[in-house]
Amino acid sequence: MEQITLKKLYFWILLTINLLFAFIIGFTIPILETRNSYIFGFVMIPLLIILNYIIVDRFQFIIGQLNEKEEKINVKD
Amino acid sequence: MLKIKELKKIKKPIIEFNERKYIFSIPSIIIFAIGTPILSYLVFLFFDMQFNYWLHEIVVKQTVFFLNLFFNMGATAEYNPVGKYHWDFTIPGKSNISFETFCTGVQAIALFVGLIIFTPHSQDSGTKRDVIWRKAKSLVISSVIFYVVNIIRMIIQIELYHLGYPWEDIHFSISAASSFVAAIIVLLMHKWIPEFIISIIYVGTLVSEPVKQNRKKKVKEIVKKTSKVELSLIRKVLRMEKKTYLKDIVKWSEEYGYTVEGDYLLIPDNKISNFIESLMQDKPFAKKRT
Repeated sequence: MEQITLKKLYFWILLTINLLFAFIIGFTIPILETRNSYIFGFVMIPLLIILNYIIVDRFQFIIGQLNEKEEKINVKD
Repeated sequence: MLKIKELKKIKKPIIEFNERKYIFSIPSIIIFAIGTPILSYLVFLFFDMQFNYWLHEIVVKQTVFFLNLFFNMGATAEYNPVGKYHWDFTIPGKSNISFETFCTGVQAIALFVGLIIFTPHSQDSGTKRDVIWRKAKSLVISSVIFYVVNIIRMIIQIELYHLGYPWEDIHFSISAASSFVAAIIVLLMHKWIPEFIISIIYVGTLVSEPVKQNRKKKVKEIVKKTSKVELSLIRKVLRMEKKTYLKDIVKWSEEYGYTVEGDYLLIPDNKISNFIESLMQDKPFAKKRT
């Protein structure tokens, strides 16, 4: 259970960083002087969405593995 | 095309590394070789488009920020939307430095994006189950490292330029020196996606496989006809060291009941069928040798 909590915290940090990037992009676009600066968001946000999916997928994979391990230990006990 | 068909017929080698198995399909290796340069070039072209000059602005402004923070230089970022490139560094007392797409370091990122995306996945289910995560991790980390190192490179170059060094002298030398980062990224990539290096080794193994098979067939035919075979030929089959094989082959032949006479290995008639059977195994004479 402790391991699962640690992993949850790790993935929560990853998702937070990802979300922060999205916020930073949103705050940066109006400050940019370049013409068509909104393209910054069009390029970066889809990449962040893909990254978000990969992080969630990894979380599901890790939690599945940890649950399997715990189940095996419970069966042995 | 014929060679590819021949390669397809060969039993695929398996490379084991860090308790994982690596088997690659031939199409994935071909896609890796062709797709990597194409995708890298396309990614670079995409970021070289005028609508992507937001990247120029961010890199220029971040560099200027750090230049003023560390050296109190009074540098500014100047926007001139005329001509091919629009951003310049303005250094007090010096002529402006124009900024182009190559200065963003995106070409290095593009190259590694191509490499990482097209690195073939192993056909072993245990090895490939977390490959997307490993690839995503190396993609993000390598891009961040390239980006940060590129900004550090520019800070050093512009500060040296500000101190009075000629731009031509520092620009090319420091840019070339900073490319050592690529070597570090390759090492990191090998840690997270060993498929990259292993797939290159795999190509070598795959190409040499028909040569090995032909050699084994040749030895088989010679032994069937003459009951003897040249030592140099059997050395290649057994993959013995050239320097020490004479010593090793005597020991090996005694183990199997063969004899060495001059440059030949003699096989007794009653052992020929066993010899051929052991020879034609995936790893010739593997059982008794281990």
